[in-house]
Amino acid sequence: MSVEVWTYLLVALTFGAYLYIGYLNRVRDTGGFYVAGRGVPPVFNGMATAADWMSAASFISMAGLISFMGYDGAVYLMGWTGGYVLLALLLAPYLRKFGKYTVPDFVGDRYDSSTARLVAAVCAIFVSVTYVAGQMRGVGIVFSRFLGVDINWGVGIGMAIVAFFAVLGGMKGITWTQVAQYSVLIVAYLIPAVAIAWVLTGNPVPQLSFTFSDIVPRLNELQTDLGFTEYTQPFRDKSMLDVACITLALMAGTAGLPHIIVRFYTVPDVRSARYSAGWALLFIALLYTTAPAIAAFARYNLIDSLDGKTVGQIEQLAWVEKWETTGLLGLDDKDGDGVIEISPDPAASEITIDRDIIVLSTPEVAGLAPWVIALVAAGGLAAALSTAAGLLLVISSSIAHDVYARVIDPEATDHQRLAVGRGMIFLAVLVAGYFGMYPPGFVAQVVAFAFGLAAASFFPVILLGIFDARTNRQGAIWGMVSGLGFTVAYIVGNKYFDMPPWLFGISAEGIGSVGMLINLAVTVVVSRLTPPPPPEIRELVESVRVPRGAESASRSIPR
Amino acid sequence: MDRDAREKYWKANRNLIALLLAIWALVSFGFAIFLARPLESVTVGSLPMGFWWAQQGSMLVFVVLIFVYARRMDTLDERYDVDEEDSPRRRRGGRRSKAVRSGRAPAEGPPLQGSAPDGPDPDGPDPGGPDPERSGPNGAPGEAGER
Repeated sequence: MSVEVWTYLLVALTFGAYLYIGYLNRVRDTGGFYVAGRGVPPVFNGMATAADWMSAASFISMAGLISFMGYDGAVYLMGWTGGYVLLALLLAPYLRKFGKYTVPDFVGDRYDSSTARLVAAVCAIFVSVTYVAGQMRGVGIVFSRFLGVDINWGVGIGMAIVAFFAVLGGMKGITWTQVAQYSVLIVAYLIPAVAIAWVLTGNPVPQLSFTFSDIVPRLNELQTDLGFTEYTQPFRDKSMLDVACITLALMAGTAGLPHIIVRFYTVPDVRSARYSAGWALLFIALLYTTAPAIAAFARYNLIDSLDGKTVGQIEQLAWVEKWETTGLLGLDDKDGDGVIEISPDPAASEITIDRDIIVLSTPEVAGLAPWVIALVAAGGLAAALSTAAGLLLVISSSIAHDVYARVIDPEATDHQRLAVGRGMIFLAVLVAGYFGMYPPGFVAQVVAFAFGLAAASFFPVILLGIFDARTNRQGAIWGMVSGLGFTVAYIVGNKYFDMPPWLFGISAEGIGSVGMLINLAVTVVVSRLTPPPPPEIRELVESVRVPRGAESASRSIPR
Repeated sequence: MDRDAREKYWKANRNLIALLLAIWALVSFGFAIFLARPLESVTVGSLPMGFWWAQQGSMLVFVVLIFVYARRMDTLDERYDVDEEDSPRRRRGGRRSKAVRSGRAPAEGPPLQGSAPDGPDPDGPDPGGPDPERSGPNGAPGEAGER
C-alpha cells in the first residue's frame, strides 16, 4: 500500500475512535461539562494534560527548532517542562482543594472582586484564542502536506471533529479523547526516533544514544569544519541572561496557562492533583527528552548525506526528491561545480532546509515502512486536535461560566448554563476555524504574548493568593496592572515599534519573567499598605492549604 | 486540630517546597545556564555537561521532584491528620480510621476546615461508598463514577 492510502486509513481510524469516545462521554450537567465530574484518575489526567500541552508545534516543529538552535533550544525544553514543577508544588493541589470550575473563579473569589474575575476571564480568552488559531492551522497543514488536501478543507475537517466531541462531551469528552490522542502521538513520535537512533548508532533508546554515542561530537566536528559554531556551544545567538529570562518566563507561563490549570480541577482529590502533575510531566518528558536526540541525529544525517556530494549522488536518495517537491528542502548548485555545499552564509549555502523537515522526514531517512509515515501524520493531527479542544473549553467556560453564569445571570439553572456552555464552545470552534483559514499575520508573534501574559498575570496572582494570606484585592489588582502593563508595553514596543530591547538586552520572549517579578513586588507592597483582607477570605486561604474536605472549601465563603 | 498544628503543617510544607525548588533552580538555572560554560570541559557520556543538563538532565530531575513532593506530602498529610477521608485512592485507610475512632480527632475540636459548615464528618463515609459531595456543587450525583 502507498503512503497516501495508509495515511487515509490511519487518519480515518483515529478520527473514528475520537468520535466514538466523544459520543460515549457525552454529559448532562455543568459539572461534567467543565470538570469531567471530577472523576478522572491521576494517570489518565496526566496523559490528557500531556496531550493538552503538546501542540502541533511541539510535535512537528520543536525538534527542528532545536536542530537549528543547538544548545539554545534548551529554553523550550526546560521552559516547557520546568513549569510543571511550579504547577505541582505551588498551584495545582491548592486550586483542586478550592474546587470550582475555572481560573477566574479562584481569582474572583479569593479577591472577592467581579472586576478581577472579568480581567482574568478576558486574559484567559485572549491567551487561548491566540493559541488555538495556530492549532487549527496546524491541522490544515498536516492534511495538505500528507494528503494533498487543501489547507482550508483540512481546517474544516478538524473543526467538525473537535466540535462533535467538545460540544457533546465538554471536559469529559475532551479528557478521554485526549487520552487516546496522547497514545497516538507518543507512539507516532517514538517509532521513528527509535529507528533513526538504531540506524545511526546501534542503540535503540534515543536518550541513551544521544548521550553516549559519538554522534554529537561528530556533529560538532562537522559543524566546525563547515564554519558553523559547535552544536553544543551555549549562548550562540542569545545572551546568558536572555536565555535565563526566556526559560523562566516559559516556566511561569506554563504554570499559569488556564487550559493546563483546569485539567487539575478534574481529578478526584488533592492527592490525585499532586501525582497527576508528576504523571503529566513524565508523559511530556518522554517526548521532550526524545526531541533533542532527533534534532541532533537528523542534523548530523542531513549534513552527512548532502554536503560535499555531487548532484548525481544526491539524486539517488529517494527522500531528497520527495521533500524537494514540497519546498521544505532546497538544493541549488550556486557555484556550478557539480558539488552541493552547505555553509553558514545563507547567500553561499547550496542547501536550504525548513525546520519542519527534521521530524517529518525522519521515517524516510531511517528507511521505515510507509505506515510509519502515515502514523506521523496521525500523530501530528492528534497533537493539534487535543490542544485545540482544551483551549476551546477554556474559551467556552470563560464566557459561559465566568461572564454569563457568574456576572450576567447568576440565577440561571444548571440546564441553562450547560446550554450556554455548549453554545459557546461551538462558537469558539467557528472563531478558531476562521483564524485557521485566514491566519492573522500576528499569530507567530503573539505566542510570546501568551506566555508573557500568563507569567505576568495568572502565575503571581494565584501564587500569592495561596501563599500570602495578607495579599488583598488592591494588591492583586495593582500587581496585575503593573505586571501586565509593563510586559505588554515592552512586547508591543519591541515587536511593532522597533523599540530596542533596552532592559539588559532581554528579548520580548523573556520579558514576562521581569513582568512577573514586578507583579509580585507591587502586590506584596500594596497589600501591606492597604487594609488586610476580610476574615472570610482568610478562612478561604486557610482552607485551601489543607487537603481534607476538598469540594466543600469553596462553599465556605458567602457569595 | 488546632491552629498551632495547622501552622506547623503549613511550615513543613513550605520547607519541603523550598528545598525542592532549590534543586529545581540548581539544575536548570544553575547547571544548565549560568554554569554551562564552566561545565563544558566536563562530560556526561560524550556530551558537555552543561549541554546535557540543558537538554536531558534537568527534565529528568523535574519529573523526580514532583513525585518526591507527592510522596512526602502523603506522609505529612497523614502525620498532621489532614489527609483526605473520602479519597477513593487512600491507601492507609485502615490505620487512619482507627486513629479517628480512638477519639483523637474529635477531642481536638472542630475539623480543620472549620469554616465549612458541611465539611465531611471525621468519621466520614465509607471510603469505597458513594459520596454525593463529590460531583460538584451543581452536578448531578455520580456523573463521574458511572463511566
